[in-house]
Amino acid sequence: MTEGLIGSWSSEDSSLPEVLGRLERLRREADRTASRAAVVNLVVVAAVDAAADRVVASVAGLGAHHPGRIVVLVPESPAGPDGSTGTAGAAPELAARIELRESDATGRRLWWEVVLLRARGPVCGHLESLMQPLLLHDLPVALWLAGGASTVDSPAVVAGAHHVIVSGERAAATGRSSVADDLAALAARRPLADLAWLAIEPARRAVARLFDPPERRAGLSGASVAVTGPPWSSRLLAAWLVERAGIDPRLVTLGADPEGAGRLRAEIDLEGRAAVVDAGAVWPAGAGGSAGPGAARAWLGPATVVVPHGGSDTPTLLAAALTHPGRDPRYEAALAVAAGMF
Amino acid sequence: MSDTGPNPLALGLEAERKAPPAALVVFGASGDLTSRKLLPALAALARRRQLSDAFAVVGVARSPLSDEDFRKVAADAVPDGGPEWDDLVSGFRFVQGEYGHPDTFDALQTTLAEVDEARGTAGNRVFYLATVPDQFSVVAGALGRHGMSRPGPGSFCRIVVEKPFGRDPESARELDGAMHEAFDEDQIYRIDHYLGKETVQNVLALRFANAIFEPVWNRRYVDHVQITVAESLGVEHRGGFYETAGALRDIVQNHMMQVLGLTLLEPPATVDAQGIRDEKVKALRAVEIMPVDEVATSVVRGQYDSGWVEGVEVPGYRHEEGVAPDSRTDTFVAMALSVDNWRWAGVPVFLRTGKRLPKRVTEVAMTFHRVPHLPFASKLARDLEPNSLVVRVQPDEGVTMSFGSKVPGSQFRVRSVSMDFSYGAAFLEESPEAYERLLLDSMIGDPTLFIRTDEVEQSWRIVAPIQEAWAQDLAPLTRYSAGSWGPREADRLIESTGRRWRRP
Repeated sequence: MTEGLIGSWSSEDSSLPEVLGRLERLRREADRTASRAAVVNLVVVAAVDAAADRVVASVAGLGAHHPGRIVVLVPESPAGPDGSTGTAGAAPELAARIELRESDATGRRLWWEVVLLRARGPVCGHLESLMQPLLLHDLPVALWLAGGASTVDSPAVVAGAHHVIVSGERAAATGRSSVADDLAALAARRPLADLAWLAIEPARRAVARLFDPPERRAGLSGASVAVTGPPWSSRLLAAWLVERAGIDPRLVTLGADPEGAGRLRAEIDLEGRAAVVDAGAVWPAGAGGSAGPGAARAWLGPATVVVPHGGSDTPTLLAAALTHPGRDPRYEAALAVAAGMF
Repeated sequence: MSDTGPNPLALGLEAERKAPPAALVVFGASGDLTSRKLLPALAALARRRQLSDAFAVVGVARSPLSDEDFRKVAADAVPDGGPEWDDLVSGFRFVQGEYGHPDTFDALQTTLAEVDEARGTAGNRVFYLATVPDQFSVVAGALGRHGMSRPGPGSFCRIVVEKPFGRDPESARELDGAMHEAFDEDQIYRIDHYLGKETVQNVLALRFANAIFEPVWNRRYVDHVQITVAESLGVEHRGGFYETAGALRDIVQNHMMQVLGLTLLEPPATVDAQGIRDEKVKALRAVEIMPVDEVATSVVRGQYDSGWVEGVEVPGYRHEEGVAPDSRTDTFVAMALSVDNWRWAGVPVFLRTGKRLPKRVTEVAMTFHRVPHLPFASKLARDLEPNSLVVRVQPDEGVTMSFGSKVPGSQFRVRSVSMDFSYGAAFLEESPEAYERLLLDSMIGDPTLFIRTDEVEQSWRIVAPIQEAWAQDLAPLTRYSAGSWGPREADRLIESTGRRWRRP
């Protein structure tokens, strides 16, 4: 498989009509060399420019499997450089970069688009006005709030999306105390995919397997649970256990990963018998990090259950979020518990 | 080799469609329409070698321009027109004068005689009215009085009229009467540039050149139709004009009714002027006339407030240049129409147009009925939308068909996917601009894509009750933020039927 850049354009001082015109011109040229593929509009709102580069790196390869138009919006500051709020009719301060990328991953040459817009000034509060004209018709809109659930001031941006993707772990890393409430509010408006939730899926599966057949679940609601790891992932895992198994939240403790490597570990103590689920690094310390296989040790069986990892790097999690859009009632229930009980 | 008849050496070298010798007389030659549309279209026709060698342009306007000044206007309008354009422009002539004054037409007659002599235009005339609408009947009347509306032996004489064709049914009839005093109906070419767009014409190709579409193009399969004409622009510097027009007159009465007619018409025996226009009239005649007292529930009129469009903060309509601060002009219209005929009975047709919407887009969307029974678990098919067929008129011209497909995986999840045809990708040749096509047709004498008087009449018949209700203030003027898809009332209009607007 080869991937590469087949066309690009950039300007530090642009306007949306110019971006649309350039995009159209690049597309017409690209159409003649490869087939355009599009299944989704992925709109990414990144918090700062440095994050935008990381985001572009994360999504650049995504197009080979979920091709479409990837629009990265970077609201740099709500006011102009001089602190002004702008005047009606004034052009926005907009820097733009367009990349047309191609891949032959499917055996034929396909191309898709990445549009990066860095906005300054009052338009940052009206990102929907930049987003709407760039959307490809008749395709779903996935909105990735790469800077967390509170990145976007404008409700219209969320309203324009069919589903929203967040990384709860990154949101928690900002130190914001109301992450669970923010995410619950978002989930009430649009189907929400939390990358942290997707990342702990192998751990949840491993935990679930510990409690089959049914006799192993006897007395489960009285188990005590200690979860250590990345703050949001461990909180979600604990909340899920509380919600699903009926465990008393007062018997749940949360702690940091002592090694600080993003390792998620849950110890479940049920009537003196301890079970450990060691899920490995469910959340990379940096974008693009990978996780090794974790393990679940059951107290009733001699075998070590290997947690099938492979979903802990951002592009893979994003791909999972795009493949299975839609509401996840289990996540929403865990979120409600996380918001109310921890 | 014979020295009469067509040149055998030119066989296969000529453009497929080529205009005959003619003089194009443009009234309003110093205006915006001439510079932005007509002159670039002529330059493109010259470049494609679709104009006759015996072709000339005579501009008429009140502005005090000389022939040289007018040539400069033309050269500036198309700076990269190439040698064919430069050659053409060198023969441009200009007549200055008031449109109603006899001297103007005396001078025009003299100039045209000189042009016939110098360029060999053979007495063929195409008069193009690119003036403000209130001058249409003035110019037509003057041409009639000066004997310029009747062709000489072996030549032709036509008049091309821009929209709007009246302000209401009565003024449309008056204009028609004035035009017919000087010209016969087959000499009058009413232009609606939407009909010159390739994708509008493609509605006909799609329907009548394919066995798979026409059988489902009816009430048995179609749940509803949506036609959207959205503009991201405001009124720019045309506030004064727009105050007298509004979206209903500016877009609905002409562009949307034409697209509607093409969408709903029955298959014509032949795709020619009479066949197409007869069927369009029949389709428009089948549109149910809304009682005045139902307008408030079936039509939404809106006006934009300030907001953000394409990343720019824009003022509200009432703060635009040339607009009254208490204006009640409609910048947005949404409506639900019913069609009373065998094919479309019970299929609602939703029209939506507006200024300062999030993006510029024109499309016709047919949404089909859902299947009677889904043999999948409902949660596995929750992302499945009804099938739709969308003709995108502009931009990104093409056709999209959406249908359900299984999502790869072990579950039987189904979701909507789309199959896309794009003109830009399928045909490497650039489509001609609408005005190119229509100007050429007017010179060739093909009125298929022009509007006949009975079509105008039918369009006004549909729009008139709405105008009347609004004039009596029987329906509220709703507000919407610039950059939104219109007032909330427009959503309620369609949602009350269990449907929703598409996101184009």
